[in-house]
Amino acid sequence: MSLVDALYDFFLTMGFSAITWQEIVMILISFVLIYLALVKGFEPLLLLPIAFGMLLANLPLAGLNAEPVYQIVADPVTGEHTHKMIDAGGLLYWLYRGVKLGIYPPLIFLGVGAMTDFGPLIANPRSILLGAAAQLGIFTTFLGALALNFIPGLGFNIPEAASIGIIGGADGPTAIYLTAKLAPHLLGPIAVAAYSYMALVPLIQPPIMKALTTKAEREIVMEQLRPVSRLERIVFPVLVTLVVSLVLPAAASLIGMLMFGNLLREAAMMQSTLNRLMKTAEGELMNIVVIFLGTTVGATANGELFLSPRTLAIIFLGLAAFSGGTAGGVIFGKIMCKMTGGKVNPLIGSAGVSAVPMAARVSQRVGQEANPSNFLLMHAMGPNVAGVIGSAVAAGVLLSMCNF
Amino acid sequence: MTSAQEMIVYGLIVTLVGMGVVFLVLIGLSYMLDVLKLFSKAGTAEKKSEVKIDNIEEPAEAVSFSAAEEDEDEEELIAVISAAVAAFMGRGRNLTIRSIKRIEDGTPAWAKIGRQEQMLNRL
Repeated sequence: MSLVDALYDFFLTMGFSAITWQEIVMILISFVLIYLALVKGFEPLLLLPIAFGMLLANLPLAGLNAEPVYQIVADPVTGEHTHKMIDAGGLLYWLYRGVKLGIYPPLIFLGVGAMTDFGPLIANPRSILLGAAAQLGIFTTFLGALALNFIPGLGFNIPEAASIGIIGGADGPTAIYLTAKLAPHLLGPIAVAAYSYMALVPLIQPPIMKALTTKAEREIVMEQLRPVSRLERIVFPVLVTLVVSLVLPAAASLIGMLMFGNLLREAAMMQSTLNRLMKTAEGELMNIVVIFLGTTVGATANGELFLSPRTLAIIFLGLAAFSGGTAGGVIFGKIMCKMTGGKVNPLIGSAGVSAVPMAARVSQRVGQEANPSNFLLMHAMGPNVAGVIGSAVAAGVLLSMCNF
Repeated sequence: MTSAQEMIVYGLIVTLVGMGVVFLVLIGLSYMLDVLKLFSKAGTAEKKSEVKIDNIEEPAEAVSFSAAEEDEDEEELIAVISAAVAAFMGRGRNLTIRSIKRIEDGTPAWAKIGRQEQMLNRL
């Protein structure tokens, strides 16, 4: 073999020789996402792993997503057919099992539960309804995605439309959980859309909130929340787990873990040894899972699937989903305002899309613009955390009705 | 279920059932929380007394209350204010708080805005 042949063979093993234009575009998109995460601060905790996973998955010949290869061989002694592993498969393939099998999102929910104070919700049980109304965006977007079937060449089937709709829940883990079960091939665009819009909540929501409310409504000051007893805090997670799981078994793994995390948080106040479990759930365990989840979800953004008009449609529908949810919450907030004789500020309705705690901050900010001595933050936290429960319930409904 | 019309019809069914279930579950929870509140009246009182003791012990030994017209609801607020005053005055002083009165907020608008910006930055 001459030197030239040897060099040529080596060139063929290099990524340069095999790279496709789709991979180049995907790598460039991952650069843009890294920029958005680092410089613009778009949900960096998740967008950065997603972007880097996207970069890793589109490296030619690296095979990080490769499936393991088995060969069926006959055992020389017994003559039985057995599997023999030829290739172990890529790193991201194995890490992705946690997404595929629906393990990571409930674990993230465990941490979210351990970090979330459901006190404002328990203090004002009616605010839970705003968390239900804001799920309207999920279903209007679901219908919108189905309506695109009238445009030739841009159709989504029912499981795909349901996965796109769940973007409107503004809840990353729920969106990933549902999409991995219903339409795993759309996971990349849906995760990117969900997390980008969550970062854009402060830009998307205020115009809708202002358009739907009068200045007098925005100025409403709400009564201070009552203190919540220890007993209520302990019983709440158990109650929610029972009620939701009995009505909707499909939502049990998400709600169950969310509420277990919350029970750890509240129980740690009574038994200080439980502090260790709570710290792990909201800290290291969650961080580890975020790394696995982010990189592997990003790695599903394979160039050939991602670079299609359907991705653009998903990004557009995602925006519609967020807007629909915001509008649903604010309109229901207005109804509650009327029914209570002006005790409820409709602005807290928009916080019903989950996106904790960003959406509640937006309510606070818009409320304070109208009336500088108005503090809606704690009132908005009620619908905000109710939104997490609401979108998990909606995901359960979609999972049981759209899974074919 | 292949035609677009059929899919939209099924989509409408899913939407109705979905919003219905979401509302039913959350309305149910909301009423159960009301019931829970009735059961936990005793628990609320217990918790308050705990908070009071914790806050008094920490800052200084000699903090005493002779507040005039506060409701029971405001005990926590009094404890917080006394603790803050005690911490500000330093240790080793006898501190007696006779009354706490809310005064009208005379802060100029620009100062309020500035304060809000400071707070929002920390949110």
